[in-house]
Amino acid sequence: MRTRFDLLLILPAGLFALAFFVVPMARLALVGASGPEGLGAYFSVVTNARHREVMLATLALSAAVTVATLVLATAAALFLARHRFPGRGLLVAMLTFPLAFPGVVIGFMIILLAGRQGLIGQVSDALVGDKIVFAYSMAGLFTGYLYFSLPRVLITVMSGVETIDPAMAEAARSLGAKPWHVLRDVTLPALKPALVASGAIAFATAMGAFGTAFTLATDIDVMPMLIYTEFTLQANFATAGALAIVLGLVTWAALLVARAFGGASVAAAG
Amino acid sequence: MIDPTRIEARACARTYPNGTRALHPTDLGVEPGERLVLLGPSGCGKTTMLRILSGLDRPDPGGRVLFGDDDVTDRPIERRNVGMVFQSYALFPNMCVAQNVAYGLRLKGLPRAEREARAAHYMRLCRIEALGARRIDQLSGGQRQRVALARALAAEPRALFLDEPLTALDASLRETLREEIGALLAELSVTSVYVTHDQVEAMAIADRIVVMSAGRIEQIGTPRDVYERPQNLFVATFFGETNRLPDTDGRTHLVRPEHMRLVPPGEGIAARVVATTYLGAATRVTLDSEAGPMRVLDHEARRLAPGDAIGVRVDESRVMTFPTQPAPEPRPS
Repeated sequence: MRTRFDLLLILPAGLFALAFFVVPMARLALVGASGPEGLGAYFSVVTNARHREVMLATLALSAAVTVATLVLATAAALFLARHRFPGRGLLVAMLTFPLAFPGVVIGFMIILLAGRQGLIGQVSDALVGDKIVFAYSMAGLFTGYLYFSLPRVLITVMSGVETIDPAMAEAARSLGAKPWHVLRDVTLPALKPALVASGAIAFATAMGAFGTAFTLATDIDVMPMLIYTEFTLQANFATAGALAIVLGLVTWAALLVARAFGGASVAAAG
Repeated sequence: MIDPTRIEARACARTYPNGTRALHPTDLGVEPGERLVLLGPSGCGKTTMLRILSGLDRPDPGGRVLFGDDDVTDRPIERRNVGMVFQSYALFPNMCVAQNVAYGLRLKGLPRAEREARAAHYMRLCRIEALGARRIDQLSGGQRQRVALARALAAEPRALFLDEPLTALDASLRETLREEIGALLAELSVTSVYVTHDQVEAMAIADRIVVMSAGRIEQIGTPRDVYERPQNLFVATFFGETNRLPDTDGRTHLVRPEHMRLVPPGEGIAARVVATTYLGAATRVTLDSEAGPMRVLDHEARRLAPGDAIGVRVDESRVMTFPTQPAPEPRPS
């Protein structure tokens, strides 16, 4: 009886997944193989030089965003979890505010900051007579994704910090540990599960995000833009479908590696 | 080897930002190699005193902490060479048992061979030599506290601080471990300060007990001193069981259950049995007497039932007398 009841529990989600995930994915996979190259379309990230470059650029961008987000968010979370001061609530609210923004708004804000009429350009023009503009490039995209990922990672890591027994750091200190040793030997190992989980979300978001890139420029070479161009502008459905499937698989594989790495150490950490 | 150090607090107080005094200005000396137990109800300031002595917290300005002749007041705990043992064990889950025990030695930069030999020595003393390769989540609570003790001792600290180390363990384990810890600390003659709210634990571990309440020291003495010659009403009632006899002339009279005996009805103070608890070696008898409710230990294997009439005789030489409320001003010593 219990088994039958449990099956009922999974039924709605199962039907949903079938209708909106499995069926379209299967169709997409078929479309991907329907072009003149056939199944070869799936290997275009290896065979096609441009596709390969875009895939590598997207992976590099996402990895850089993930690392930068983890470093910034962990530092901020450690400070915020240990200190109570007036305005702390406001600061946390400000840091987590971008959670509510769509990618388009983030892109718009990057243009306001680092675009041709942007704040950074005006200030640098006034100071050194040279207008610094980086909104319409990978650097702009990096800034946008960083802004976008920071809140999620910050929230996860902050709640992670609060679950660490303060006595662990005190025990380490009693044995002679300086703040740097406590960070290396106690805090970061304890935060590993939170860092892996939130880093995975930051990475996957950066791999697939489209709105920000689309707002900044159409010629930024990241996978979602490439898929968009192939699909909408070239009407190259097979290539677009194959690239979409490959993007999904590559992201999934990268996350799997991260989880295995984090999971193994989590199990060892108990 | 461990070098016993005298630890001293001079006029140490601690006030929270909201103005609450966790500890009033207090002097306290711990002799080299002594096992000193800080005992009191929660909120009495015992943990505050421990944290000030160890260097986890600073005393209010004016307070000093001395290790031997060194004034260590301005030195944080990581520069005091002390050991800490916590109620929550606070072991590092990302390291195995042997790595936990050797952690302090690694920070000191000891060569690997020496580190391993010393860790092995203290693991043997704490009876965890067979657990070296285990992960922390594979250990029982008692084993974890042994690892924590070995880790603190392996660094050969000038003093060892234990904050309610047995409180998270079950009763039978607590009894075994407190005897072992007491014996081990005596054998190593490491200066130790041990915080507990458990009177029996304090008596088993302590050379001297410091009874605290409301941020002040009420009495310092050997377990026998504190039990047999409590200096005030608080100590007498907190430390061990007492029966209260009728007040006379603004004075309160207390007597321990073992200094009373049951006599036939009509003799002594008239009483009626309310309940009995058979303890094996003795029976604890709860009475309703004409002098108020009382508890008496009966060693004569009487068969008493609730409602039985009985008499109680008090050993007058063991009655402890204190001025009735307000309690006397505690004297920090």
